[in-house]
Amino acid sequence: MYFCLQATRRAAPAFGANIFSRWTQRCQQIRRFSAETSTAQAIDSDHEIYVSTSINPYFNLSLEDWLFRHSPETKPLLLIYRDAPCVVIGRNQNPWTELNFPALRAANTPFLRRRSGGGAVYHDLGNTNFSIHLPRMSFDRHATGRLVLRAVQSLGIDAHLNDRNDICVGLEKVSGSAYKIVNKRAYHHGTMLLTTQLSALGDFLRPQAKNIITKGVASVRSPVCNLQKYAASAMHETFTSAVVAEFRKEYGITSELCTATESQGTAVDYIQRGMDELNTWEWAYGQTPSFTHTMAHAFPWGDVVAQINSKHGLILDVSLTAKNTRMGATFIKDLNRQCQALYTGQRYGHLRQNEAHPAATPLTRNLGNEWTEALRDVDEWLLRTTSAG
Amino acid sequence: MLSKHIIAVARGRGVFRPQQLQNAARLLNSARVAQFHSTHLLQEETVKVPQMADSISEGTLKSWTKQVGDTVAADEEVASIETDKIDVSVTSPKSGTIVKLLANEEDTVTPGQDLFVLEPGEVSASSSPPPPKEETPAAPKEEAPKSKEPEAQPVKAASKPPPPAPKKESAPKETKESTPAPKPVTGSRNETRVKMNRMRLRIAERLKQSQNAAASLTTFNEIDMSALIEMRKKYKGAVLDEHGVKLGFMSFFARASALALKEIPAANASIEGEEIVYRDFVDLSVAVATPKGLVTPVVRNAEAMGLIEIEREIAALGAKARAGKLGLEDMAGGTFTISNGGVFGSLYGTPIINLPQAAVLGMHAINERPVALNGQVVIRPIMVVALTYDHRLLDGREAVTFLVKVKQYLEDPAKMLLAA
Repeated sequence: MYFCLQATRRAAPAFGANIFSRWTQRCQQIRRFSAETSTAQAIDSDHEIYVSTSINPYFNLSLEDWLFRHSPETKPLLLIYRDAPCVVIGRNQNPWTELNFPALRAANTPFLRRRSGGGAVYHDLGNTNFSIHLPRMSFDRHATGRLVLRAVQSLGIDAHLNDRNDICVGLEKVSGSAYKIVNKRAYHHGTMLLTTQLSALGDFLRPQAKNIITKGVASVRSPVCNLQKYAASAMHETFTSAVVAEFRKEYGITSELCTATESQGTAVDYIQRGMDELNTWEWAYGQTPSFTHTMAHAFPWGDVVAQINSKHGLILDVSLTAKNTRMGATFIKDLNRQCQALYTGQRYGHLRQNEAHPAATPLTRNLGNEWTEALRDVDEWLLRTTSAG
Repeated sequence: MLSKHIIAVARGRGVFRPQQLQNAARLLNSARVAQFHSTHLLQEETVKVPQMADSISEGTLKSWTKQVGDTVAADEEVASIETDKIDVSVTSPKSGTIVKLLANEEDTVTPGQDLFVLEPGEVSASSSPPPPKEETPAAPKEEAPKSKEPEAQPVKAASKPPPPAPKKESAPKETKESTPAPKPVTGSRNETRVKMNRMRLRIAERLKQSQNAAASLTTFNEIDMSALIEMRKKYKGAVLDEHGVKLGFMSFFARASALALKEIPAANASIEGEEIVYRDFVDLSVAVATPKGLVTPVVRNAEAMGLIEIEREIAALGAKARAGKLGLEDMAGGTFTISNGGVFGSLYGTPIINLPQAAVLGMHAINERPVALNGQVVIRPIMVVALTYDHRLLDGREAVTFLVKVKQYLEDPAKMLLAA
């Protein structure tokens, strides 16, 4: 007779609670597989050309950040790396309006938020990433774009730069770029599609959530293709050599290339901490700018429209309106009050994962049976619609 | 706070030791100083939005990494700005505490805009309460004269802290305010704050730059407009029919200025570094008032244009300006400016130089006035003209001569035909 929310939570299908932790486990798996013992010698930041042998996206992004902040201020630096399948969004993007969470969940593919701006991209072993670091004063993103363009052209491909500084062949994009500026340094990094699974790319970057109005930076979608379509020789090794050669020519670098392994990198405390930070909820979801998600559903007892306002990944408030309801005038007011108490402050997309939230404690109110049913319906529906897995 | 030692000396039981007395005095002084922190107001630093990449003129403030009251280390990130796929990190120049945030998330910000206020140095909780206490006796005094009518106050003026008053002065001022009996206030006490728009901020910045850089002063003269008014009355109908252009006074002034500039080239020059650049062409900036503010589109090669052509060009630029369609190339450059304050009825005034130009000619209202001519008093339509010039480039003699030449051309338009 008395409705207890605790009971509902245990009975709910496994949309919310388990997926995030499964994901974290998978990410830790990636770390474990590619990491060796930490007795390896730590990497140093004095070289000018680095090629990473790790395919762990968390490691590669942290390595890039460490090199960015610790290498000599005036020396140009180049880093090349490849990642295991993952999706990477820009610093100020909204993952729910950019990504297809059900598809990502099904394929067990993680998403990461990088530190530079720009839009969402898909990485896999057929995609090679380049990162060029320069002093802020002499940083010119069109010049660095042209450097990579010349590398592509040296493979015998007739490519050009479009007005957004991305490399294209014909009408199709083969590379996306993003940039970051901090204090005295700046970098231009980007992707290069060589032999990527384009079907996966299209699938993962097709957002499923509708009716979200967001302040997050929107991706600019373009048709894409692989470089190998135009030159059979285009693959990771040849592209890497081409970029390294152009980099050497442009900046007059003659020093030896440095191969960075994950064991060498994780021996550096900064890199290890960076990898951990990339994996936290606060960074991956908590950096999301404010957005409003409006959703509607027809329940047997009435049509409900809910509007969730969120900022920094947390729910600020939920407001509900109901039509055609036989439940009575005060029903919707009460429903609103219950939902506010339940959801405000919770993590959008991960409702009920914050065990310490006061709403996790059971509600013991004398609610009629019909109302408790309705409340449970709404609760399940919100959980289903917003869950990020 | 007499120490035991001093009491002992006073009672004749101790030996007078000046060193101990000095120590005591020093302690007393430092204790007095420690009670108020007026110096902290002077140490606050406003940190601006940094330059972003090449040719990027604005970005969106995406997030505040630190909030008011947070401590920051030098070079630690305080905010993140995104523009055109670039994430620009705004870092603190020194360690300290964030005192105030001057922009909101999702605001558009431009390089050089004030972004946040930082109090450098070590943080102690006692430093925050005394400064607001000192600001409040100073602030009501500033507000009182303005309170008679509600005024729109720019946000920038409000964020500047009032000058810190030393404690001794503020105490008697407080008592003075409380003694006269408060009169009942009948008017509204409402204020409205309107954020300055981008254009106004730019105009303000450029005007101040001009005042700071140029050694400006103004020379005046009067022009008898009767000949010009005659000529205009005679020909304006025909000009409208034949060329579809309204004949105004601006074209005459433009032509007269162009001729005078040929004779006084220094008024058409600019200072670039350590060189003076003289030009063979006259690009005339004509000041146009649009609803959004003052703009100065440029009439290129005005020295080669006839009166009709000048009118046509000015009319076209004016229409473009009011439609908001002026491009950067329409407003850049310009070697000399003519500004017309007379349409609003001004008698005379001192226009501000449009850097990097050397001078600006200001036209004012035409008023009928009695003047002495050949020993007789006659009524003539008189316009006062002002030439504000940069003394670094032009001497008094040159500036006055320029204005006199313009006056002579306009008082006897036939002279413009005779000019070489």
